Amino acid sequence: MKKKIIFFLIISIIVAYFGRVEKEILDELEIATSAGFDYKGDQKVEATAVFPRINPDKTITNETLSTTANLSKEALREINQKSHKPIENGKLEVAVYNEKLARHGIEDFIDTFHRDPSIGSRLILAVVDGSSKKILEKSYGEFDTGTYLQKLLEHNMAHGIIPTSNFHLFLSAFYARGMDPILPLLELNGNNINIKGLALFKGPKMVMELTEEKLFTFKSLYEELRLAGVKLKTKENNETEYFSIQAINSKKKFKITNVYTDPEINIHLKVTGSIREYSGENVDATTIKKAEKLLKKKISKESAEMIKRFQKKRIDPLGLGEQVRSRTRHWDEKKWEEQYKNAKINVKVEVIITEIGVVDGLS
Amino acid sequence: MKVDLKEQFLISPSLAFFLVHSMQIGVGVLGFQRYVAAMVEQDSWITVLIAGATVHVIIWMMYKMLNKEKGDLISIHESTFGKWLGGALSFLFMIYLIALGTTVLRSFIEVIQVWMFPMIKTWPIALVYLISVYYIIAGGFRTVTGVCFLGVVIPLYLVFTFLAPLEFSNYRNLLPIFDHSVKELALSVKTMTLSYLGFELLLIYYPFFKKPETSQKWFHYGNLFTMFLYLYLMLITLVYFTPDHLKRTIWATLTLWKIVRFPFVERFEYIGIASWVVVILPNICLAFWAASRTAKRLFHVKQKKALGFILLLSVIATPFLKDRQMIDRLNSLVSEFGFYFIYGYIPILFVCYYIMTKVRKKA
Repeated sequence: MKKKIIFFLIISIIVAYFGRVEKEILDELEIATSAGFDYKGDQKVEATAVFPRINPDKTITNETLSTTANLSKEALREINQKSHKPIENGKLEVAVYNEKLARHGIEDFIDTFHRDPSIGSRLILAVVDGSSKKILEKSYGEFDTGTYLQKLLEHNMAHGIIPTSNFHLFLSAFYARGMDPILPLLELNGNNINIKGLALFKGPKMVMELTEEKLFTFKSLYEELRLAGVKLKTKENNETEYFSIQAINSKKKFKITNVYTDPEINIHLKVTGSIREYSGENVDATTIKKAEKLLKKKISKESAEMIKRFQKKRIDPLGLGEQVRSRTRHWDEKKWEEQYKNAKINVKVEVIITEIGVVDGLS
Repeated sequence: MKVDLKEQFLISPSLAFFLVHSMQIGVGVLGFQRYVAAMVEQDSWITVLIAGATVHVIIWMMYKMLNKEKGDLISIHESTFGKWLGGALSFLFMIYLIALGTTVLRSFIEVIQVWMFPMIKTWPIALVYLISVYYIIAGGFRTVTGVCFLGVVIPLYLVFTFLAPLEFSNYRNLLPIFDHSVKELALSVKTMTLSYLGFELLLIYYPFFKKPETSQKWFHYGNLFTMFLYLYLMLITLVYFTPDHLKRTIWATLTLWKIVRFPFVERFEYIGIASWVVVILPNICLAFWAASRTAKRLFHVKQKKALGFILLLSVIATPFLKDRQMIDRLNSLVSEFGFYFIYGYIPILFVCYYIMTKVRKKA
């Protein structure tokens, strides 16, 4: 018995001494909530990391650290060197790249995050028009920049016009055959962050930009609309009328003919919405018809234009290739890429306005 | 040759369910998907079903032999091949069991090192783990069975956490079904069967069942449950990852957890890995128990002494497996051996055994 106790003690001491791991105490760490990367010419990037600071009066301010280096990992390491506390990146919420960098390709930066086990799949990536350092350095109200950006983007994805995107979805589109990734495009407007549109990628390189007005149409084709709003304008009898319509949901159906020879893609889009605002007098059956027609026209026109542009740039952010692939046996990616630029893609839109709110109108 | 055991060491036949299932589910579950998907991509789930079915056939063969012999692998070997050749084969099987236990332990420590504590040394974890393994096995086979039961029941709640990735899944990833050649499918079945390994330990613990013939039903149920679990995981993985993404993901199951987010846990995979300690405990216990049991039957030594020696060997061996390549090579070596043992050797043994018993009867 005595022998056993001594044996046990020796083992515990050995294990406790040699098996210990560095402590990581929350107060003694710098927790980065967002990181930004700016192109600085010729293989050089400037990396910026944001750390929230909680002040004694309970307000939260930012602290940022920037450094210029060759690789993103290198840059992060140098930031760590500059910091007086070790940096932990497990709480990283948002990573932003400036447009110039995105146009040069972000594969190295993606690899850094992809390899790191402490980076979550819900990390939101975004492209910034201008300097990402400037955006991150600013303070926005009650939150630190990372949390603020995350909340801004997440709520706009859930009930707005930004297509849902996160690190996992980016990687999925990046690795998918017959699909190209997209990221939201932001800009700094005075003291606010503005959603400028969408950055469209071909592989790791940004090749095109979609403006904010077209996001409603894009999102309806890309996924489902959930409470996204759109403004319609019409001129009748020299009087400009405005509608504000909120989409309740949307459904799309793909019908693809001749998959083996010359694929023709027919998209049937059905949008259900309600009128939120109307600048005219009364909302009656004819006004509803008018709004339906207007929205239908807008979506049809924009989607046709949009898809033409995609085909010209040979990018496929809507995943049409994926639709064709899943309907074809022994799908050939190369052949599809040839076919894609001239493929016939028709969008048929159906709009139903179900509700007009709780009143008819003013008079 | 009948192996007789005292009543107090025996276990109920229904526990066969937990014995087989707990041994099949181990570290392999954390990353089996990409090896299968490397060949058959979206058809991987079919592979899971076919591989599971072949395992049932092998189980049936093993029970046929064991029911006739009323003993274990050592006695089958002896009555088929004689004392020396049979003994040598049993010894080889023992080496395999030791390697199996060591591989599982080292692979799991690797997961801890990559995902949680990069600084931690290998041998202190191995030492602590194996001391608890010694403690459990020293309690006899009934204790080991108890650990198997807990190793299945406690982590079962994790099944529900795999529903979270469905939010970002694309169901079209599964289409088109049957898009690969029979050859590719056959090769992937071979890879998948490695994930089912572990049921061959029946050859050692068969005599420990009360009325062993009646345990066959439960054994099949256990394997069926494993099959459903693998199918469930494989389907979720396939809809969540695009094939090229999956091929780059070493631990797909752990990466699935990266998308889970609770208000109180930022990264769920840490909880998952911690729970996995309980999942692989029965693996290691059962492997080393079987190894020491074989040693006892072969060399007529005390099981505890043999166990101590085997565990010491394992503690010394684990730190020598230094990096990913070595661990991967050992893993494939052990599973390759297991594969040929089960699909090559057992059917041969099955035929030889029947011929020998027929010959003996006539003589």
